[in-house]
Amino acid sequence: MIDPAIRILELDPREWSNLVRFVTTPAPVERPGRPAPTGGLVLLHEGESVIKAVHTERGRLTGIAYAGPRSLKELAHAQGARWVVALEVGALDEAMHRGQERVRIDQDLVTQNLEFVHVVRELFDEGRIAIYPRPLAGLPLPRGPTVQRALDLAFPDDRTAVVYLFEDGRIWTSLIVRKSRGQIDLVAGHRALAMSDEPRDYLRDYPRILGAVRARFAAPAIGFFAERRTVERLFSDDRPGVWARAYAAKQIVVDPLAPWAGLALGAGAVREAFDRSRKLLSRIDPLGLAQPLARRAREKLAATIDLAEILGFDPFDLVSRLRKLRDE
Amino acid sequence: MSVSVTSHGLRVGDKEVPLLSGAVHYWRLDRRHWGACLDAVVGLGFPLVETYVPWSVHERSGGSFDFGESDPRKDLGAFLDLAAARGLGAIVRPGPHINAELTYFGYPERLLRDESILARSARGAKVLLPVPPRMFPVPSYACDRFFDEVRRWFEAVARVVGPRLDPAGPVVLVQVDNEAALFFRDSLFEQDYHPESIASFRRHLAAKYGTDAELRSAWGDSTVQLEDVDAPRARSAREARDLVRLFDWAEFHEELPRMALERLRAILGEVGLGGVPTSHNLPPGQWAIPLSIPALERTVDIVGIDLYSPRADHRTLKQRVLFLEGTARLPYAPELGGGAPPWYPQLEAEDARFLLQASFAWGLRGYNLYMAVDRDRWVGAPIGARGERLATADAYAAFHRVLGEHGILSMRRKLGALVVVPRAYMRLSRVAHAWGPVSPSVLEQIGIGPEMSCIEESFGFPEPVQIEWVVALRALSEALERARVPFAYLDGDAGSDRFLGAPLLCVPSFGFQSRALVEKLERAARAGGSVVCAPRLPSLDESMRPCTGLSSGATVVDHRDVAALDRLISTLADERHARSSIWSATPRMDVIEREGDDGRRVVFVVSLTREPSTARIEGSVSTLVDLETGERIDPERVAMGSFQVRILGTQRADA
Repeated sequence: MIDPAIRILELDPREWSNLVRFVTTPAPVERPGRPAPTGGLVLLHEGESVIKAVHTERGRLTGIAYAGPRSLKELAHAQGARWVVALEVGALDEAMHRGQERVRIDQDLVTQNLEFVHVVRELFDEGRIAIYPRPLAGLPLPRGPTVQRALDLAFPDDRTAVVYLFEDGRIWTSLIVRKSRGQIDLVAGHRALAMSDEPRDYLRDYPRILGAVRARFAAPAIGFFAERRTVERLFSDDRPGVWARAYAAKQIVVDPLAPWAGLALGAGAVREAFDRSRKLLSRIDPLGLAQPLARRAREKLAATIDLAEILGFDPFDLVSRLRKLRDE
Repeated sequence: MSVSVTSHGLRVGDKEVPLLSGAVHYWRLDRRHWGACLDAVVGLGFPLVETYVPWSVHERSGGSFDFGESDPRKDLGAFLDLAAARGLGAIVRPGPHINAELTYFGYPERLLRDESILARSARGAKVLLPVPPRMFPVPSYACDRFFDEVRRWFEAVARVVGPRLDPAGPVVLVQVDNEAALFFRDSLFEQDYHPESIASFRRHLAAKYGTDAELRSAWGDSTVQLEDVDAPRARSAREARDLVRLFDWAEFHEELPRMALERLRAILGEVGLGGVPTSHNLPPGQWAIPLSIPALERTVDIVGIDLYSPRADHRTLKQRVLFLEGTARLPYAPELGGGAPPWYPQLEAEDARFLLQASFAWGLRGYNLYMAVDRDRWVGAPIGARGERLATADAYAAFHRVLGEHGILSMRRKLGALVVVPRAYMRLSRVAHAWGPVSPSVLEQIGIGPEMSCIEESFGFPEPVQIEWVVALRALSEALERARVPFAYLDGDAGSDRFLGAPLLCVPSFGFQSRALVEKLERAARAGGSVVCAPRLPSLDESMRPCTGLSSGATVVDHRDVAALDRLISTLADERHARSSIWSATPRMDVIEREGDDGRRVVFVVSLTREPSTARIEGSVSTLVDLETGERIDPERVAMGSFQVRILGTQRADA
């Protein structure tokens, strides 16, 4: 899925920072009447004895009690944390040990990460790691080949995917991704196209951007062009059909329109999946657990046929769980 | 040797050359653009160009190497000749570990498939480095076969670089390996349990203890013997005496990479690359990395720390640079971020500018801009891959011009104090690391220090020393800042002479302390230095044996009593004339004065806030001129932008 020789070319630092922030910063959650908890709590415990407690925003905590996985929700509320992870002493060492035993140098990075995700799931199941909230409990985890099938379905070989967002008459962020022989082998920013006349308007300029991408790298399989503010508005709008209406009104341009993207637009699923991804990614943890989950949420959009059969789980069940988490 | 290291750069023949370089990766660029890229490096005011030399890129199957015979982009010799033709000196970094955001960090994949070469975990597994674009197992830096392989690589490099060493060619510095800190898998019980590493640990213990009886006495274990003693594989300490064997392992964790660098340097010499000074770069951490600058400086000539902090982390950056200033032979950043890899937190243009200028304000005297020229897997270099100057280029050129025209690199701060960082406490923090395989040094890089990363166990001492020493260090530093005493950090491992460098020595000091450090402090006190210990004098040494030094040579203060601490520091600062002659009267604004041997002086004003504001400078200063713009400045009203650094020429009011 990710070519070990992947090339990452000519990313503009401002555009790249904008994109990273856009993808990893959750939309603010408005909760009238009470301040939203922020940050998370990480506990290291030996039985009921807490060896170390750290709040990601308040720092070192002492005097914390741990009464087992069922107490995590209460602990989260008491400590003003959005989430809690409780680690038994030795659980991280065990996770690393099992991961090191399973990961091979000839595996692709996504597959390697999935090996670690499976290890962590095992440790959840053994009660050595507990987490609150846990919306994805019981959901089957995919293996590398499953994810590869989904990727191949969504993104044909020797094609590119293109995203451009504009703000105030200039490019706010841009990204060009190419897939070859089943693997993402190139990521580039707009500068790599070396266009003499800088694009300034998503609607006017997208055809020549697509032309330049085709000439420089490969024919686009999907292109997405819009104003940043429009996209932010769409992601924060819960009403069904807003994406489809924006598409029809050319407030966003999706060209070429991949079949799965058409389905997603129609289903209004884009906002749900993306919003969830951002929240998960915003909690980046040292083992990178959140990223495969978010990636999987996005990948659910990839199929136009029986997704449950391909992915090994029901994506609509996943969406339902994510919605429930968001509403908590 | 025609090249030597000075306190502020290199002496090449009879010429002083500032240690300012820009990184260019020749093999990643179209060869047609090499000339334009090097011209642009010259245009930014760099006297030196730096490049890694990647093993995996040059090695062909069958054990031969391509240095341009097949692929013109790999013609290192031609690249160095082009640099020489432009008057550029060159720094080469042949690894073997180079990272450079290369898959497998520059090691040939075949090497990492050889199980006999790989480092081992406490349970015998290979030690995985989880990095994009592919995780891989790391080699053991104790394995003889690994060094045999490296020798073949260095021999190949030497055939190209050897004839181009100064004075015959442009190469003035060779870096030995890269960030040799156990590949960020540096938790104490992560590695290296390779059989040859264990054998090396036994030799380390034999050199330290000499006999089984001594080892048994130190470890409190009547069964161990030097011949077959095993390395600790988990933390099992409950009280102070249990720590001794863990300290020995932590000490070996520092010794292992140091010995590896010594072997690598020796090989470089044997293959013909020993004719110029050598350097090494520590990863961006200071207290948690298993490397000691003073120890490494006994092996290589220049040891620096890589700096990548964004503006928001200015406190960490300042601490790191002050550590370099107080401890290193030459305060040098072998990599200072001109951008960042795409998968790390990004340095935006304003971050990169602040990082550079603030680092020099706080004491840096040389750096390598990493990267100067854009390339694959990098974001934010000031020069494009075709040699074009990008938007951020002008700021570098202007800064270098000011450094050069005003002789700033040879100017010094007059230090009123050194804050001593006891290495024994750094080791204890590594022993007491809470989060298993999550690297303490990586956590430190993102601002998570011992307070958040160490367990709360006190091991029989009145407090958890592994956490409290950092609290004491911070309290001492803040007290010195309030008293306007310029200070830097000194690694407790440093030689005795370094302890004589300031009138005031402030030391976190708890129930135990390294005996060698106590002796150095005693000598400094006898030589007239004032030693402040917070919060108490030690009663044990690092072997948990009685230690009663310092009883008459130091003043003790409880750092948690801020008023008492301030009174003491203030009194000593007056007695020892340790205060700065000029200072900032504005919060979140640093004013740093430097003075050259010729009497010239400059003032750096560093804004530590996002909001534009006005700084007021007080003390003995009358006339100020902005050295970049020529603008005359009123010391009462220095207009400062968001995280701006201004360099001002000054005259004393009494001049």
